[in-house]
Amino acid sequence: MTGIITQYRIVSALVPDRARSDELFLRALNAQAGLSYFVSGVSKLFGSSWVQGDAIGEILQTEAYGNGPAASLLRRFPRLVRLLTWATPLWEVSFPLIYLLPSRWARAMLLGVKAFHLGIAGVMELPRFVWGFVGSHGAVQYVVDQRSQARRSAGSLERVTLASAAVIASVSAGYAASQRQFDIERRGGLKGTKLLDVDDGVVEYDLRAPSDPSVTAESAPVVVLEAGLGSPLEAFSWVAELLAVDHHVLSYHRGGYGRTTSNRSPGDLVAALLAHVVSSGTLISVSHSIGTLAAASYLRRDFGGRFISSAVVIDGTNPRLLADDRVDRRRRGMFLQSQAGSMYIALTGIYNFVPHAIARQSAFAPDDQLGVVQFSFSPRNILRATREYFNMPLVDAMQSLLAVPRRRVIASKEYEQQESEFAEALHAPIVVVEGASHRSILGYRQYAQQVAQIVRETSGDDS
Amino acid sequence: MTPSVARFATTVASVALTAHVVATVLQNTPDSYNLDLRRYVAGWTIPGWRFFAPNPGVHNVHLLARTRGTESSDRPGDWRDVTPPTHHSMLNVLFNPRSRGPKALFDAMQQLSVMQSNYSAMEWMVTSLPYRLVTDATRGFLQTEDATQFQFLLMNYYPAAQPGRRMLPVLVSMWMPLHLAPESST
Repeated sequence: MTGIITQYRIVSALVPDRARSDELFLRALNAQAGLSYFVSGVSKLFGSSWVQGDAIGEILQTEAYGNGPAASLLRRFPRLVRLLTWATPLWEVSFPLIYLLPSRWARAMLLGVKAFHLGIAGVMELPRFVWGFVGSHGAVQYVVDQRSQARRSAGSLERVTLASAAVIASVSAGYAASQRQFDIERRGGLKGTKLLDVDDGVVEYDLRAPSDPSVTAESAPVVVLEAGLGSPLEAFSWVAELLAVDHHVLSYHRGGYGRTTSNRSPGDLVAALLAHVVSSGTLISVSHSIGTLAAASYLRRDFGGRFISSAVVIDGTNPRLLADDRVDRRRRGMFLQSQAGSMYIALTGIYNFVPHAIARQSAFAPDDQLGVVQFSFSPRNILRATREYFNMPLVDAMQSLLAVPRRRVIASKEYEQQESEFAEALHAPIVVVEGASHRSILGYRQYAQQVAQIVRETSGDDS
Repeated sequence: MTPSVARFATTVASVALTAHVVATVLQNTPDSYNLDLRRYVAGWTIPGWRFFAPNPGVHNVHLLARTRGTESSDRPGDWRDVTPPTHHSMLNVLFNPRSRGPKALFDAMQQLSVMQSNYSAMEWMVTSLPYRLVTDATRGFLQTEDATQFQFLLMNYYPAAQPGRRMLPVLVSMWMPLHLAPESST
């Protein structure tokens, strides 16, 4: 804030009229001061450890901010620390109310804010906040006084700022909604996906037949792909393309995802889809992440006299770990924070303009890339993924996986340790794809080739 | 100053400050997305107001180092914690300039942690500013050592985590010369 004060004073000094120069400086500085408290509060409300009351207590355990004498004293009162953790974002978010208060009440509120900064300085030994932010309070008081004296409620700077931000945010949100609609229409087109009627709705799917003419389609193996949490069937597009040379490859969206409106179980949907695959070949399940648990729900199922003979698990979710995460309030909070963040950037359309993990860790063909990004940031799919995280059945998942005759685990480098333990529990051999992350193991062609090769070897073992 | 020049100067200052405030609003989204709008305000630094949010730093970053002789076959020494200490004093409430050095190093180490978690290539990381800063700082801490090469290790320590989950190694550097040859002047 100190830098802002200096810079704004220099720029506003360009204005020859002294009164106008001061007015511009004070209004711009006030905007930054009001913004700083409000933004800080809103961001904290997106933080799981703030919402759960842990943040300040954890900060006070660090060497940088928690080793001073005042911090040591404060740590003795954990209930007070928790109360302060909740109170901080609340008053910060409420800061703009100061502009509605009478002048003397606003002055009193600013005194309280000064006390807050002094408290931070004392406990965390961060004095620069005192000098910078207290230095900006004069500008806030100036604007409050202007309004109190009925001279002006808002200057042109505030009006232009709010209008610009609102227009840009609206355009971004509108553009994102149109991109998502475009992707839905693309799915309904010639190069898109197909729909199959089931009892209570439709299931969206993609089915590829073997492209090699020397392969007998009627007896070629059938690969059933099960995508991870909130992921579209396009997430498997590299793997599907590589396997579809000599396999039937079936991918679909579980209930509530994409264009699937049916609420039937993954097993029911797979059974309905397999009835349309003209092949007596072996059935192979290939699943990614939490898709492994969806697959586990039908691995022991009888598909018209056939059973799944092989399960290839790619960075699969260990049901025991997910069960632990669901009951651990901090991990549960981190998951919900991540979903809330995704929902925020989905609704505002920010994902179309900033780098994000999904785009960074995938390089599909253009149509598939568009599908993956727009699907992943669809508010409906984010809500569906949030529900699925808590509702995915875990009982008997390990037994189902262990019941499959042949099991393979493929791990990204990112999940190597976790998957090693999972592979051990599954009594399955493991292959680690060097350099791959949880998403890029499917999103980059060079890693997908290794995955497809392992699936093909598994398929060869079966036949 | 002529009226037209005065009007021009007023317009420039007003537009510049308004654009900067608008860019600040747009860049300060609730989560830490890398929305860099500096290019729209001529490179002017845009403040980040998300203090300790959404996820506050709740860990200590430790800088560990070890040294060895010239030959790559030489057995390296043990890792030692060379993290600069944080000084505490009652006066820090009002004036704490000694916190700047450790904070700069902490931020550089933090950036390296982010690069590592994003699977950045080592070849790229070694050319980054944070890597060079940490390298130089470590080299400075080890200047009195009787060795020719050194290596650093960044270790995150989470004091509030459950025992057994507190230490997380982040990055091991390459072996680097401890003493740089003086630059020759021409």
